[in-house]
Formats: sequence, structure tokens, C-alpha cells
Amino acid sequence: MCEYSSKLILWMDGELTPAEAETVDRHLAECHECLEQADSFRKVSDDFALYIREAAAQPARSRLRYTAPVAIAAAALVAFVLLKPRPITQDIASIPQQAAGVQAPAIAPAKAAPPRVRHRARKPPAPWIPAEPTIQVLIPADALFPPGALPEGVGLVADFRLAADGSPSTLLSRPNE
Amino acid sequence: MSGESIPFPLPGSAFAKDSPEAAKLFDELRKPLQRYLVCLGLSSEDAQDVSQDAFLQLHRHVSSGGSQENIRSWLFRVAHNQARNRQTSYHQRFATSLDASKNEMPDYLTPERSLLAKEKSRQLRAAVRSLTEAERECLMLRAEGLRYREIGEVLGIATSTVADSVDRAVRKLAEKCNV
Repeated sequence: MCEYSSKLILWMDGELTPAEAETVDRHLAECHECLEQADSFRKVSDDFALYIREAAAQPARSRLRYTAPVAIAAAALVAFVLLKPRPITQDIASIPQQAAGVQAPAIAPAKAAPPRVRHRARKPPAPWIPAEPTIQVLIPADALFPPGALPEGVGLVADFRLAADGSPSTLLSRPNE
Repeated sequence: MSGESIPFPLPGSAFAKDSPEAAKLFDELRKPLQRYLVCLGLSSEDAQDVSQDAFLQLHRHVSSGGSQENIRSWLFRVAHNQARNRQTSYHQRFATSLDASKNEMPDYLTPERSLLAKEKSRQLRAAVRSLTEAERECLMLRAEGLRYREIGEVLGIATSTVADSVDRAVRKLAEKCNV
């Protein structure tokens, strides 16, 4: 094993003197073995940090009160629906304020509009799953794709669950039929 | 516990209202501190309690003219000791095994909720269990951004001992997780 190996973690954590750190810098430029090792130490350290964050942020019942400030942010992102632009434009036009001055289609009151908002769970959730607020955000596809790259007729539904610290802990996407 | 309980409306508000610096410190350290306490095995209520109490003690410490150096390690040390006291009294009261409770840490992590891949998460859990308590504590404090000197102050051990523990712990994890 390379003699520098013992200094890699100290180096990575910024615990070496500047002079020592510089010798390790120089060494890493020419020693592939140490570079790989440093990389694996870095990766496992990052994984560990992520691991304890997820562990501490588990949405246990007793931890719900911490989530209050996050709930607003979470609510905005629980579900995210990507649709073709045309129906969305109609949706926006049917909002009264925006439709001022425009002939609002008489047949397009909000409630009569075809149901584009989908509920996250099609079946009632199992009793052990805590009820969560579900808000769906409609984003026109042409807001996300450059002109010309717009996928025709393709829709996507993505569900997020936000952990107490605000990080997404679940991401599930499926085609929007 | 400090024995004395002073009610205040929001966690740390007594501490944070004093100055923008104190509020900033509170914002920066509250989450890492609570996370560390939960990872030590405290319930989230206990973690919140202990962290509030630690901030309150910090407030008293600073307002009574105590040193403002090494605030971060001061805070973590107070909280760490309280967490250990609570676990000890729990142990005495219910005669449960402290060794068993030490291993509780991230066991409730379920793969489908994780950003880590299932296999990696499983490997990591097993690897974390193979660490000694000191190694695990060093690694958790390091993951919260504490320097080795601070970790030594929190745990009451020499900086060189921290360096050895971190080195051993990271190597064990890397080896067992095949990264």
C-alpha cells in the first residue's frame, strides 16, 4: 500500500497543514491507486452523510410536528403533472381574471372542465399509510422543453414525497394515460 | 436535563432573539444537532428537548460572559452528554440493554424511501453496525461538518484519537461497501 494512503482521509477532511496538503495534492496527480482510494473514501463519506440524514428524517408520527414549516413546500410538490400544452392553455384561459377581455367559453367553467387533475393514489391508501396532503401542479410541457423538442402526446406524472428536511425521499414517475 | 425548566414559545427563541448572530447560529446548528441526537438513538421529542435545553444553556453561558470560542463544539458537547444521561436513566429504569439500543440507529431506514440504492443502503447499514460506538459518533459528527478538534471536544477525546477513529471508520465502510 502506498505510504500516502494513511494521509488521504486527513487530506480530504482538510485536517492537514497547508504544506502537507500540498504534498498530497502533488502525489495524487501521479498516483492512480491513491486517487482511486481517495475517491472511494469520499463516496462512502457522502453516502454515510446521506444515510444519516434519511435515517433522522424518517417521517415517524412523533416527528410530524417538525414538518410543519416544510408542509407548505411539500404541498406544492407532492405531485407534478406534465401535460400537453393545449389543454393547459385552456385551463389558464378559464381562470376568470385572466380571461377578462377574452370571450370566456361558456362551456368552460372550472368544474365542468375535463378532470386533468389526478389523485395520487387511485385506491384508498392502506390504513397504515398516514394521509398526506396532495396538491397537483400542472406545468405545460412547452415550459419545460425547447421549441421543436416538445414530445407530442406524451405526458408524465411524477410523485414526490418530501422528507422532513425538505429532500425528496420518493420519486415515482409513470406515463399519464 | 439541567433540572430547571424555563418555558419559551419556540425552540431556542430565548437564545435567538438576542442578536442576528445568535439567530444565525441557531438556524445553522439546530438541524444538525437534532439529527445527531436522533442518530444517537433519542426519540424526536427527546432530541428536540435536549437541543432546546442545550441552546438555552448556551444562551446562559454566553450571556453570563462565558467564552464565545468553540461555540459549536460547546453546544454539541452539552447535548451529547445530556443524550447519554437520558439513555442511562432510561436503561436503569427499564433495564434494557444499552448495547441493543446503540444499534438502533438507522435501522428503520426503508429502501423504498431512500435516495440510496437498496443494496447500497443495506451494505451501509451492516457496515455502520460493525463500527465501534466511538467510531460511529466521530463519523456522525464529521458528517455534520465538525472539525476533528471540535469532535474531540464534544466527545472528550484527543484530536489524534478522533483522526484514528475517523480513519478506521471510513476504511471499514469503504471496504464493506465495496466502493
